[in-house]
Amino acid sequence: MYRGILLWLILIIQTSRILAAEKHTISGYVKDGANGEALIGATISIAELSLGTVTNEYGFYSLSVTPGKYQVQFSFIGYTPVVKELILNEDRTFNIELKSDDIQLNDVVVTAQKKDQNVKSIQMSVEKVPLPMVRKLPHFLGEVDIIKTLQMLPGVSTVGDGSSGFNVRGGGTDQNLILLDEAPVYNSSHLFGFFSVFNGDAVKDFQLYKGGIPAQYGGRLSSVLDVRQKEGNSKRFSGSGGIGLVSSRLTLEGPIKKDKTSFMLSGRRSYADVLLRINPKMRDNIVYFYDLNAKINHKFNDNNRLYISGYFGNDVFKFGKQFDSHWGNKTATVRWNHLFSKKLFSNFTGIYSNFDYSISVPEGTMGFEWKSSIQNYNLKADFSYFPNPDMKLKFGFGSIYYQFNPGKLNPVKNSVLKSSKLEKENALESAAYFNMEQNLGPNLSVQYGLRASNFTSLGEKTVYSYETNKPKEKESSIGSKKYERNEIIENYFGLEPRVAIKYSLSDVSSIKGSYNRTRQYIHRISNTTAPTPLDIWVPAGKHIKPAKVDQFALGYFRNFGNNTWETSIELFHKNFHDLVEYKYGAQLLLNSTLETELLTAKGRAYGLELSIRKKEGRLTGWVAYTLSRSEKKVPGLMNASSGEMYPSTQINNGKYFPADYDKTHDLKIVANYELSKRWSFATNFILMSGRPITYPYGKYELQGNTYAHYINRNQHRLPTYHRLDISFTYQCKKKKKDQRWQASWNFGITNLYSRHNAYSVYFKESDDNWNGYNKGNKMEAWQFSIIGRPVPTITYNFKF
Amino acid sequence: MNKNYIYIVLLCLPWFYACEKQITVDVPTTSPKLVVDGWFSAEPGENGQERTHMVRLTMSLPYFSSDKFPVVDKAIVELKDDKGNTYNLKFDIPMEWDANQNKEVPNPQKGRYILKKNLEVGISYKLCIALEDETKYESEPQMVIPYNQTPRIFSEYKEADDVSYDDDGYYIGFEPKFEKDQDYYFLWQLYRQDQTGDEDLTYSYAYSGYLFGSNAYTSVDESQTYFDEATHLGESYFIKQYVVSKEIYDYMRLAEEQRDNEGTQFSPPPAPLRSNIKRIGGSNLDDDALGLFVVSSVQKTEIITIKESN
Repeated sequence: MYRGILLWLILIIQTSRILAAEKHTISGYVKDGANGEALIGATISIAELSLGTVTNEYGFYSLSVTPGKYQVQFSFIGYTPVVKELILNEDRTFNIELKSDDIQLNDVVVTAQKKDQNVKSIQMSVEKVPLPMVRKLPHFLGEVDIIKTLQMLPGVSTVGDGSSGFNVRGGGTDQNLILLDEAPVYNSSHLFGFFSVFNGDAVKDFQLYKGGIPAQYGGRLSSVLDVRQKEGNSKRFSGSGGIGLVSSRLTLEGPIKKDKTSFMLSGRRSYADVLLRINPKMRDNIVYFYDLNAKINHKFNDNNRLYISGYFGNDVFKFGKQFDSHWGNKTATVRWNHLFSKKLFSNFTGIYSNFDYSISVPEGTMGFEWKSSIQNYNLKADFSYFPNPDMKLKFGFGSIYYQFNPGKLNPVKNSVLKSSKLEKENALESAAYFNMEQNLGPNLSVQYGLRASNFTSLGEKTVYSYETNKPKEKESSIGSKKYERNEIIENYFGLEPRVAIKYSLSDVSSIKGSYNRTRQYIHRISNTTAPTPLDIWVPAGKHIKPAKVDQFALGYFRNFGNNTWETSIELFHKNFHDLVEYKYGAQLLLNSTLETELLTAKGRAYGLELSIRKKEGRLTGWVAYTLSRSEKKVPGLMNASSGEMYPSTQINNGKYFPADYDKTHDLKIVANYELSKRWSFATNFILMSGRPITYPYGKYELQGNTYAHYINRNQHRLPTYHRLDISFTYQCKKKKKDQRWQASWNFGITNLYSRHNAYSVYFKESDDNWNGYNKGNKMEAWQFSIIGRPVPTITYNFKF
Repeated sequence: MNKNYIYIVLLCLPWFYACEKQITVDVPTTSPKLVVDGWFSAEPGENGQERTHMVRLTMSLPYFSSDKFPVVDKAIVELKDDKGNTYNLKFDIPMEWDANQNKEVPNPQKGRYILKKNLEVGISYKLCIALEDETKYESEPQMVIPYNQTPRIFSEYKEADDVSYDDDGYYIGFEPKFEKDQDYYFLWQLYRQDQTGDEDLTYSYAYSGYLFGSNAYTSVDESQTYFDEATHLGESYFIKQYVVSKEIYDYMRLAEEQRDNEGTQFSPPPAPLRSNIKRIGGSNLDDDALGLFVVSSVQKTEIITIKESN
């Protein structure tokens, strides 16, 4: 299969070379003139020919045209366009730096995309919010948060306050491929979801693919969040930072050699542990996080650039002397950009990614230390080929080597516990892909691609066998096999077609459609509604299949008022296969036969996303409404002899039930208003259906205790969630015109009208029951809210 | 490893802003279901007598009802063994001291079906119930599992801490002894022994809830385990070890987890507890009774009296 893809690619390239024989290519990089940062998505257009292209993730562009003299315009929203007269009688390299418009921190222009990008681009189901806009929005405790901003977009949600991760179009939190400079990030949150691992000062750009996922991405079912760090100011030494109520941050960047080598270093630390010491009861408890982003890049020459970047973050939690926990991500990426020619851009990448956690009870007879981790080593090569203005080809290949360390328990001194360890697991995931974007006429564009992926689970591991057509239980094991180190346990191969089409109805409207199939070979094992740092990742293997999804999407896009207003309506439908679900009462921790606790599920998600955005003017923002359903089904296993289903293999009698993150209605309003040159006001409003919950149908008495009688899962909902946040930003006046130090104050309130949104609803016996000898029988329902009061924030931000 | 520690983190961090309140919730209802609470053990009766076994039959109630659980007193309840014997249980209302009347009076709310018989190790038993409306239920057969090892009991002084022990004092611990030939599932319960009035007779009662364990789960194999109820100097205690089937063990463990489940995002979804009492002629699992019929062998530790030198 890989050979077939390679032959097809060679054919494409050769054909395009023939077709392009009479053309010359202009190529180069578009950068920010102030700091040398590559501009992603800058437009290069030639009006005479009605041709254009945009820069890629590294600011590179390539455009092939017939020989002649042209006015070539380079533009990027928020920057002064540059028009150059170029005589193209040979291939030329033309690098350009654009200067930003004379803007303050409270810029009115909030998008870095071409004005009509949402209509003209073939890509649909993609979300992108410029960082200046992100920084102005109200954030919990004043911490700029990319993930929380994404949750304000259509089709993106969370199960509730303080939840780690996010859900995209009815998919689970482990179905999002989160990349930081191409390195996978396995846990995207600090402190169980209150903060994101992404430091807003270190990030240059991010975008979220909710559907129509291009073929260069794979390995997760529901979305790709591609986050790019800044490269570092190659012009001059500069910095930025902020001091807030809960955390502070500092970023330093600058040239090591001007216009050749630059660095960026960004750190952040919270100090919630300091606040806890105010309360005598909490004094011995410690809760904080810190993270560090670093990057260095070097330009060897016009054809070769090297980028080295990394991330290190850690969460620390201590509960007195009784409990101690750490968890965190580490990533490292080395990338080499090489131009083989003016039309062929390449990127070779080596990646290391790690997520690990440890839990310990440091002393006592039940003392222990438990560690778990997942690591991967990744090598990949990606190519972009620009044969002509109507075609853009991407292709590449890569491999990921995984090491899973699901759990190791060591007793501490004087502990009575025994050492215990789950076998490590290894796996190799490889893929090759191509993705072609092609204009078939003035109104019709198509994108088609194929990703071929292969996954091999490897020893050393002991794998148990079970009786067929019976529930997997330890008692029904019929034997085991010991696989040696790197011996193949199981192999999976799959094709993932990706198709998209766009038809322009006019200059301001288009309809788009897409289909993608994606496969996921690793699963996060978690039977809780929200993920926790204690969850482990496991590979597909003998008993756990890869999951798959087929997603269809259809959309209508229309702009108004000279592209000031963007509107869209998108429909989507997803069919999930071979999802992992859990038996009731599943024992997931330190379980060497985890497959006995797992079930296979199907899923479906479908919905409608409406979006209205205003991108220019004093008032900017968006209204996003999503109407959707996300459901799962665990059909179970039939007992061949009795004809009845094995009860332990079914959930809700094998019928579809709402997934934990199903949100029928989801409305978000985000607005930013420039009150004056110095003051701006921003607000978020969220209104959404409560998440599904399982309520009891009755109660009964057993051995003197009262028990709730449950029947079906997720048949009810928590109360509706709504919340209003506001913030004001004040841009400090410069004392001197050429003063480098710029500062602003941000004042915010989260949950302005003190809404008690339910984090959980639980039931307990009434305290009135205990009235002496006779025990009563009354039960009560209680609601716990994480953010039950208005939460004020003040943050001082600066840059120089 | 208790994921409730994560819940503690959530309380630590936004403790300035979190809040709790009682709310009114419309929970669904279902028609009342038969609840079977039957526990049979192979422990011999005391003083040479046959052991008294009890089965309590009640009906379930809507969740927020303040009523007492209705007692089913007109059912036919039988215990059958795999040798073909049938034993009828008789409905009995116990007498209890009424402080208002200053005498013992019958308490219908505590009514139960009793059988006096010593069960045999290695024999399987099942419970059969026929209600007044001719609805019939039958349990899955369960064997009294033979087991020869008895835990070692001891006591140890411990100081209060925030995790395990609320008070300074002596705590009872034990070391289970596992046989390796197959998987066994255990419940352990601490009993306190007191003496009655002038007759110098003793009686014992459950002093703790159940602890669970199995040699199928190796991480705490044969480790010392402690009950977290503080004991008192001069008093006597012993432990009963019940050996049950895996189904009973899973049910009891899940029931305990269910009671502590607070429905947070870090809690697993609450599970329907599948009874082992099946309705005869029922069309699906929801027709079955609630509750449990348990058969177990019992091993009893020696009795220890708490002394300062322990």
